Amino acid sequence: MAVSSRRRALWLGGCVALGFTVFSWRLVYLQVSQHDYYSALAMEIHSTRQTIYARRGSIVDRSGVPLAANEPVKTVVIDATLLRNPELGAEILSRHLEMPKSAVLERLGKQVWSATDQKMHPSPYIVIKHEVAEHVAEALQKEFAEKSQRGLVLEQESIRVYPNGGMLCHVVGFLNHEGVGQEGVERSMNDWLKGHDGFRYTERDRRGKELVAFRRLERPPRDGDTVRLTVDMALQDIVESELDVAVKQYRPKMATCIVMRPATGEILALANRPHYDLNQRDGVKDEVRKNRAIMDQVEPGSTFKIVTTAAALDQKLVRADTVINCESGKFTYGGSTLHDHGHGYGELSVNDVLVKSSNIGVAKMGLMLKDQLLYEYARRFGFGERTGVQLPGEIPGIVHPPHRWSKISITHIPMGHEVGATPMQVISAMCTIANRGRLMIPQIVSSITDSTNERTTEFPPVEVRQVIPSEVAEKLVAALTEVVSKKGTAEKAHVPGFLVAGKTGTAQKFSPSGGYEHNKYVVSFAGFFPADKPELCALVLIDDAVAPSNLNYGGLIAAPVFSRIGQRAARHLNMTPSPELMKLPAPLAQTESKGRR
Amino acid sequence: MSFNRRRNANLLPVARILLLGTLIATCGGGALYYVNAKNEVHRLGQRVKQLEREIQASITKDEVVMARIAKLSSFESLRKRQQQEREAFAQLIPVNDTLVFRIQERPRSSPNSEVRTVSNLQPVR
Repeated sequence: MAVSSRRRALWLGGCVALGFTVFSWRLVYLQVSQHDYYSALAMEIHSTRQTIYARRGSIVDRSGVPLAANEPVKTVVIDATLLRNPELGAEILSRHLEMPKSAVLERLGKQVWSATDQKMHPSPYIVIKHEVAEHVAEALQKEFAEKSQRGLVLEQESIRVYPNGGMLCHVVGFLNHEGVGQEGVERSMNDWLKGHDGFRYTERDRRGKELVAFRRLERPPRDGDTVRLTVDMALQDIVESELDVAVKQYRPKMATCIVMRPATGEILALANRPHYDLNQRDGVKDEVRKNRAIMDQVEPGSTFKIVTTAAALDQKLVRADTVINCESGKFTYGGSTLHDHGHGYGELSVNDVLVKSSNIGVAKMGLMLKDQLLYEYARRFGFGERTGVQLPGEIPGIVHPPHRWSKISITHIPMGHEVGATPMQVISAMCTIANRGRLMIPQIVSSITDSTNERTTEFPPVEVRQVIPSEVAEKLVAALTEVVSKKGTAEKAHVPGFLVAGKTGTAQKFSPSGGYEHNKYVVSFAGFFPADKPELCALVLIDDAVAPSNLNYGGLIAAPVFSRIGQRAARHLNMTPSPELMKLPAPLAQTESKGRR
Repeated sequence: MSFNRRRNANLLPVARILLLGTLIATCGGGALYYVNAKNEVHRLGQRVKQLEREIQASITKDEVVMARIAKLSSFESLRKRQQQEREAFAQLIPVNDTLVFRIQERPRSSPNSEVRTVSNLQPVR
């Protein structure tokens, strides 16, 4: 009996020992041999990579006025599994979110298939509305709490807002649905504005709650930089309001105005018409969104005469007082007849060719220069290549090389025909004269500052080349000053108190079917002041103004707009006028006199 | 003899009990401290999370206010306000050039750079 009992005890002990051995072996197997596998699995289940989103940087004008900013908003989500009374929930939601109750109820009724119990369940994630203002979301949350309703989830979002609406819309641009810059500075400076998202590895308990104590690797986000533009919003306001007046008066197909500081190439204002509200872009046509200042090309017309004259003076083929026979307004070359306006002119000095804007005079200068030199100077002034402004989508324009010219090109190109130029190229060329021969890259971005305000990257002015010697530019300035006088084509561009230099342009519109369209013109005026020490250079370009043929001239339509902008800009920039230049009358928009191209 | 035997039989292993007690107390205390420390870490974690939420809420509020200020002080908004005020009692009147008086020459300072009163050159009595 004793033996038997001892044996039983031994058996039992042996079984228990075996059991422990098996469990121990299993434990060792799981904890040691399979350690990496199970720890990775645990990590996968409990550990999550949380993205910390960076804030997009803002865009401001030269004095810090915000042009594009972020506004926090909420997305209202409902977890229908927690919603106690869908009827009451829908009533609260519809009232706060200004939605029909039936629409909310319909959404709340959404169900999802559960694979575990093989039946439909209320959805735990129903998006009710995006982009809900913070105060609305706050009130909604309060009422949900007061009425003991559960299941409301408010997700944080951010939308891009443009406080100035349509002002400067073509420069600022906007974002697409993925938050990537689509147009304007938003696009060209996207890499600086977007910032870099951060991340954090964190652990969660079995209910999905974050265990803050077990946070591991963490990289904070780097918010986007602030992009400061060269634009002066007060000046932009002046330009836009004057352009609106002109658009109301002449109802053109489009209009553009650019104001630049010639010495640095800074763009102080840029406006196009038609334009659109950056906050309400739905349904806006591509044509309206187009920044015509850099994406549209027109024949510059007589404003191009400054290139021909500069080339002829620089090559010493003529002097300012060299007399050119303007053939009394009719000159035939290569089977094509050129005309001057009115009854034409007899003999004119080179200066007067520019002042009177004689087509025949510049055509003869073109003939003196010959193809290659004229082409080279056009290219040196920046025509036929992108100016390099920090805006997307700029086109290079068209200046055909001489081997593609027709027989009559040498007489047409000098007066700005057969050349495709963007308004930005035209004003850059005028700035070159104002800047005594130095061509600058037009600048729209002044500096970039990081989110901590510690690091600032400046964009200093960039000189492209010395196009013509300063002495030649001085001669041109003298001639262009006379353009804005009683004997010139742009008397109405006068800015009281300042000596203005500039050039009008009136080009017949090119027809897509070939040739030119009857009674359709692109009129422009590009000028700068004070002529002796230019501080501002501006271009006003109006395409297809509704005006009688005898009034549809750059000197009568675009020049007065320039004058009004100039007067207001001078006061805004605190420029000191000369008392002796104050006496001339301020220009009027309407005139009875016949204009000159 | 018997006294000594009884004394030996009832002898308490005080040192051993003390050692054991100390060991148990140390281990128990350590374990409790560990649990407490763990709880503290979790509690601090929750506090960190709460502070993060508060900071986020402050930043959000700040951004909302900034966006609102930007909107209200924008040129677009000012232009609208100007439009409204054209019909109101207090109007904005543009200052024409005829109403602007410009001083061309600045007054020169005296050679010895003495400070002078602007309006009253007479000595004050």
